[in-house]
Amino acid sequence: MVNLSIMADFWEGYFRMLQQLDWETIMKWGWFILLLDIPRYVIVEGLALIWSRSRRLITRKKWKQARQILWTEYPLVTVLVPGHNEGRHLSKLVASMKKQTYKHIELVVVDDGSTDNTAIIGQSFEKKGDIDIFLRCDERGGKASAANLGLRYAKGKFIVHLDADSSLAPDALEKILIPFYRYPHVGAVGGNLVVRNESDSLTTTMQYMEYIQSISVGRIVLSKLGLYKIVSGAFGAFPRKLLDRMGGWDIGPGLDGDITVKIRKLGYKVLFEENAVCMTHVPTTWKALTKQRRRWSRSLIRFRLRKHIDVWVPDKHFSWLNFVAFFENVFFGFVLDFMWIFYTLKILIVAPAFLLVWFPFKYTVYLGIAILQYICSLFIIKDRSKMLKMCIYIPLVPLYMGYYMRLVRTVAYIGEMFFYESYKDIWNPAKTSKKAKEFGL
Amino acid sequence: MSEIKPHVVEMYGKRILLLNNFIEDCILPNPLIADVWLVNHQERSKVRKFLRSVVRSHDMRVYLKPIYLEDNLRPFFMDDERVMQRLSDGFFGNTDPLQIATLTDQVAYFIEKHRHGRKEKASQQEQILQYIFDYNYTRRSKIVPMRLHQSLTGYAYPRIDSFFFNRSDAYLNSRNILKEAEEQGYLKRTYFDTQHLCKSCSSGFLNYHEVCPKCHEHDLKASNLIHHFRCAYVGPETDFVAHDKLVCPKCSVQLKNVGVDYDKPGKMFTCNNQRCNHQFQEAPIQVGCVDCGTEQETYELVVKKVYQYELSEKGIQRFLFREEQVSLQHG
Repeated sequence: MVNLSIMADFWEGYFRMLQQLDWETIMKWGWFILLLDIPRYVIVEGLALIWSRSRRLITRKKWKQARQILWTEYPLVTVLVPGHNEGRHLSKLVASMKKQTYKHIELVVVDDGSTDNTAIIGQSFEKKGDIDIFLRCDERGGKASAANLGLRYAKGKFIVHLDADSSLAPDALEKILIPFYRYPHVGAVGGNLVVRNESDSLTTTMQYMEYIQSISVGRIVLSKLGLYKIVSGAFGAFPRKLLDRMGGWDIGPGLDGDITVKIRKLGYKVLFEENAVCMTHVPTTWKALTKQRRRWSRSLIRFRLRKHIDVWVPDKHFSWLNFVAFFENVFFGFVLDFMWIFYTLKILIVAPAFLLVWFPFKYTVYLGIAILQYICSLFIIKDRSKMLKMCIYIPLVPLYMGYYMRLVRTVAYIGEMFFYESYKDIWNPAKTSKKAKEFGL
Repeated sequence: MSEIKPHVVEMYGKRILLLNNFIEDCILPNPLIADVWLVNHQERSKVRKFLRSVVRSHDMRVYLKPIYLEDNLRPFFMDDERVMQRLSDGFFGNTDPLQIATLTDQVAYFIEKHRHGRKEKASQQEQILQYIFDYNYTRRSKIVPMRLHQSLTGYAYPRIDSFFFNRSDAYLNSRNILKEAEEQGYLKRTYFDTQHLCKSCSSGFLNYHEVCPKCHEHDLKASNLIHHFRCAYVGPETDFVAHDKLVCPKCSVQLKNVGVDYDKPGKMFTCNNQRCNHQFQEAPIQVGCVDCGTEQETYELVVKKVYQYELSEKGIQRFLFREEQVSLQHG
């Protein structure tokens, strides 16, 4: 009984608070929520999702045909796995390769100067024939160089780039190849990442939600709109000829963002294939996650605003799609983050008491968006029962996405803009970062 | 023997027999006509044959005779020089005259003491052991293995090997005799070296080659990998060679300083077999025997230890002082 009355008090207070807000105040402080976030994440996303799903249903004959062409041609596919100290994941990787429905594969593993027993493990798999080519560099050269070494000795018509700590669903290879036969002029296909270790900690559970609700759904939408620009390094497929033409990967804070931009600049389509599922291992602690996301976010500055600054310039190579893709990325990632911080600080200074009303309100709005996204994702995801169990975590999603991620991103942007932090990140060896900085790459 | 006129000279009060004519016909001279023998024949195959027949002689007055080599023969012996030294008591000019005299006297004394009462040995093995004890006791020397490319394994005991007529007999028997004598306590051994020998013929002359793990051919091409830091291109050195410079195939920039512009993180083999052309980094090692041609894996090689031996007190007692009382028991 006592509990009930407390609950009633809470809701009463909550509604009274909301009544204090009128449209004018809401627009004054939160115009970007109503004009940008809700249209972008609810309306555009919802419509594009419906469009994408219905198109797929209508054209399912064409998809079947594409699949048939793939199986008739049955090209050799290279699965390229560069890694540093990833030996312990190799047996799982090999097992997941053996389970693939698509069998004409060549597994190339590159050991980038590992200091553990990766070399011994890899060599023994190579001897058994489970790994077709095992390449070892005694000196660590960075992930890009390791991938390029594998590319140099790969023979497949397509290269599927995979992280050592991820494992593929049995039909993932087949599914990621079909788009190359479905559409002409496809330069890259990104796979759908699902968190494998979602029950390790709260960190991984939140990432599980994030990968499904925003990364997956977001990519389906962007791909449909022709704006998709990050083929995940953990699972992506490319025609080998195209990679050879570009000389493979470049050094950077990640492998994914840069190569896709290069492919798009050459006029190729970049697609997302939600049915090609890859289970990936995500950081289990907040500290490790923060580190990873800071690295990802730095690439926005380094690639979108520095290395590929020419995308913004209307010259003869100008492409509207690329421009919009960049603009969307920079605006919703970069500009809105700073705007959010600006408004929060402004309220804090001008009317600190207002925060008591404003935060619950904003939380309510974003919770609504999160619930909508959750419902959307339920339609898409295959393993519905698992996702259903996750519903108790929905209330945390606005905090995770709205506060934690925003903060991490903003700190990374500032660090990269003013201090060129990505060049100091030990993710790349110092010798290569030094050269990259020297030549502005 | 009577046809050859012995040429004897006196020096340091010892009678020295010049062996020239005896070596020519490979005839052992009468041991009584001189104290010291001097090899002065230039043809090395004949000298070797003669010295080996001295070792094999059943007469201790022959096989214990101090034999020296004339110094100006050195160039004629060529790569047999070390064996010749082992089969004789060394070069005459290198040896102190006093030492020659001492040795001569010691040998004479030894023969005087032991010649009588010696029985004919029951087996060749016992005869050889008797020889080993007689010789090494008078010379105060050890049985030291010697690196020798004419031998089967690369190591020889030249004196013991002289009892046998081919390399593989010499290897098997001499090791066996020494091993058994050591097991019975007549000899003491110390470690000298470890050898890897062919699994089929025990030869120590082996050819190690890196082979292609797929087709097992050993015609391979090795190439260093180059990592160009600036553009992250990695490939074999051949990708980069343009005339006499290194130029990156991805970004067309010339590579100048190793460690600054680029480094070499590893190497790569390419199989030159046209039907294979496999590319790989870890080349397994295969071993080909130079003598019998058998190809084998490294783990199949026979591992043998080589020892240096010396006479033990027990052996000296057994072979030199109590031989009449004790009868030999060889297993």
